[in-house]
Amino acid sequence: MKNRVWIIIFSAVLLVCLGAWIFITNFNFSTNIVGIYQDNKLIKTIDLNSVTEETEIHLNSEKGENTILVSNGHIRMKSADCPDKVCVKHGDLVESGTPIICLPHKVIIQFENPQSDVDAVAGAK
Amino acid sequence: MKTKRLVFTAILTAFALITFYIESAIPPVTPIYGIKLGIANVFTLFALYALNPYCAAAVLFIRIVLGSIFAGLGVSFIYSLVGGIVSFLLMILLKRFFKKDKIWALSVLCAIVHNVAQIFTAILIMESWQIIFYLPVLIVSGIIAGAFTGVCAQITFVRLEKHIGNFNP
Amino acid sequence: MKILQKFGILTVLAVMINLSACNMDSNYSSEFFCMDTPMSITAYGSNSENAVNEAKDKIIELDGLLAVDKKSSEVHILNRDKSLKGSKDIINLVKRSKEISEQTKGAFDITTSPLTELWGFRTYLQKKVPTENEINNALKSVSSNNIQINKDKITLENNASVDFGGIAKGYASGKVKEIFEKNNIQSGLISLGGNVRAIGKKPDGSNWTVGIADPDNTTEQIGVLSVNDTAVITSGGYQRNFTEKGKTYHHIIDPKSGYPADSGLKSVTVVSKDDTLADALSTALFVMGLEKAVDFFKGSGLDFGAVFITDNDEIFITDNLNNSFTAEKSFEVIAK
Repeated sequence: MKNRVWIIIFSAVLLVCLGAWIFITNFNFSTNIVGIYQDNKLIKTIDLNSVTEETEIHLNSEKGENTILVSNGHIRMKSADCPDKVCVKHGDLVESGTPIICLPHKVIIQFENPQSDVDAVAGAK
Repeated sequence: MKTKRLVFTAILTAFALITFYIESAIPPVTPIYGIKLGIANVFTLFALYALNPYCAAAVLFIRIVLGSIFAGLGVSFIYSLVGGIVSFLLMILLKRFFKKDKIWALSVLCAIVHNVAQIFTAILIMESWQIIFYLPVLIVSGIIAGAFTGVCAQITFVRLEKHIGNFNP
Repeated sequence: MKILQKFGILTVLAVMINLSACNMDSNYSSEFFCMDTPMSITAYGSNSENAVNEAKDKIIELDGLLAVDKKSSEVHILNRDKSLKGSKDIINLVKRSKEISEQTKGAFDITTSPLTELWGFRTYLQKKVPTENEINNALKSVSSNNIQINKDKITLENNASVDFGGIAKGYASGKVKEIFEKNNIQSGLISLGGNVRAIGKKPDGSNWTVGIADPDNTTEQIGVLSVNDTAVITSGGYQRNFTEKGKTYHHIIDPKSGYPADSGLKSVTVVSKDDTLADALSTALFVMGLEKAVDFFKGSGLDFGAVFITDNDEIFITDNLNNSFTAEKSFEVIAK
C-alpha cells in the first residue's frame, strides 16, 4: 500500500474518533428521572434525558382521563378531563418548581430525588 | 551475538530509558490519563529495523521494567507491560509488510493497539466499563503520538542506514 | 561516534518536543483523625501516594504546632509565656489572622480564645453558659491589636491569648494544595472535617461537586456547588453547640459581644481559591450576619463567593456562584 493510502486511512479513523469523542463529551449521560403517581402509588418512572421522540401517556381511572406529553427533557400534562385544568395550565415540570398535580384525579408528576452523589460535603464531618 | 550489536542494543536501551524517564517527569497537559507521546518507542522501532526483533524486544522490555522501577513500581507497570507486549507482537508480525518508507504507518498501528490494550487492561483492573468512553480520545492520541514517534524512527533509520552495517554484521 | 552524537541530539530534541506524559489512572487516599475531626485526602496521578502521605504529615505537624491543649504546641507556649519565637507556619498564620481581622473589622479574631474557653468549646472542657461578669472580663483582652509581630517573634499584650480554631483547617488545606502542586498532582479532593478543597478537576475533566450540608440535618444537602481548584468551607452554629435551660448556644463567638453570634444565619459557606481566607471568612461572615456580610462582599475587594442559609431557611448566594450552584429549593442571588 502506498503511503497516501495509509494517510487517508489514519485520517479517517482520526476524524471518526474525534467525532465520537465530541459526541461523548457533549452527550448528557446524567439521568433526569420523573415519577408519575396515581392514588399515591408510583405507576411509572421516565428518564426524561433518554426520551428521543414525543410520546403521550394516557392515564385512565374511574375518576377520569389524563394525557401526559413526554419529550426529551420535558414532561407536561397535555390534557385532562377534570373541571379546573390546573395541571394542564402548570406547563412543563421544572426541577426547582412544584410538582404537577391533578387533584381531582389524584395524579402527581414529580422528579424522583436521585441519590445525591456529590464528591464531598462542606460543613458536615 | 556480536559484541557491536550488543553494545548498540545497550545504547539504544539507555536512550529509551532516559527518554522515558524524562518524559514521565514532564507534567501532563491534558487532564485525561494515558495520553503521552511515548518517545521511547522511537528506539524500539529503530532497533527493530536496524537490528533484529530480539534486540528490539530487549530495548522495549528492559526499558519498561527499569523505567517502572525508577518511576516507582506501580499499577502503571502493568499498563505499560500489557501495552508493550501487545503492540510488540503486532510490530513483529506486521514488520514484513512495512518497508522502511512506511515505518511511521506501522508505528501508528502499534500505538493505537497499545492504547486500546491499555484501555481494556484499565477496564479489567478498575472494574469499570465506563472507561471505554476514553477509547476514541486515546485512539486519536495514539495516531498522533504513533505518527510522531514513527516519523522520528523512520527519518533516523533512513539517514543512518548506510552506517548500520557496522553495528549489525 | 557520529551516530551516537546524532542519537544524543535526537533524544534531546525528542524530549523537548514532547508534550505530555502521565501514567494511566492511579489514585491514593487516606482517612485519618486530626485537629479533633475526621479528615480525608485523595489524590489522582502517578505520584499520588507520596503526595497524600506528605500532606498527612504536614497536617499532623500543623496540629502539633496549633493544638491549644497540647503542652508542647507553639500556641500553648505562646499563650503561657505571652511571647514566642515562632516557626514559619505560626508566623504566617498570625499575620494572616491579623490581616483578616482588620479586613473584617474584628468579625474574625483569633484572640477570642478566652471566650471560647469560657463557654467550654474545647474538647477537654465542660460546656456551660458563663456569667456576664466573666464574659466582660474576658472581652478585655480580645483584640487583634494585642498581637504584635516582630520578625519571628510574637508578643501578646493585655494578657491576650489566641487559638487558631477558625483558620487552622483552612491554612492546612492550603498547605496540602501546595504539597499537591509540588508533587504534580493535577486532581484531588481534600476534606478536613467538612472543610472541602478541590484540586484541579476530576480525572475525567469534569468539575468536582461539593454539597452544602443542610444545617438541620447534616446527612442531607441543601445545595450543590460544581467547582474546580477552590476551597469550599462552611461555618455554622449547628456544628458544635449545647443546650442549657432550653436555649441553644453554638461555638461561633462574636468577638464584640462575647456571646455566640446571633446573626440570623444558620450557616455560611465561603468559596475561594485562598483556603485560609475561606476558613476565616466563613466565621467572619457568620458573625456579621447577612446584611453586613453582603456589604462586605460588595466592598472588601477580596475574591470569594458565599452561600448563606438564614434562620428562616432562605438561601442567598453571591452572583459569582450563580453558574455553579444548584439547589432543590429556590434561592436569591446577591449582585456585587
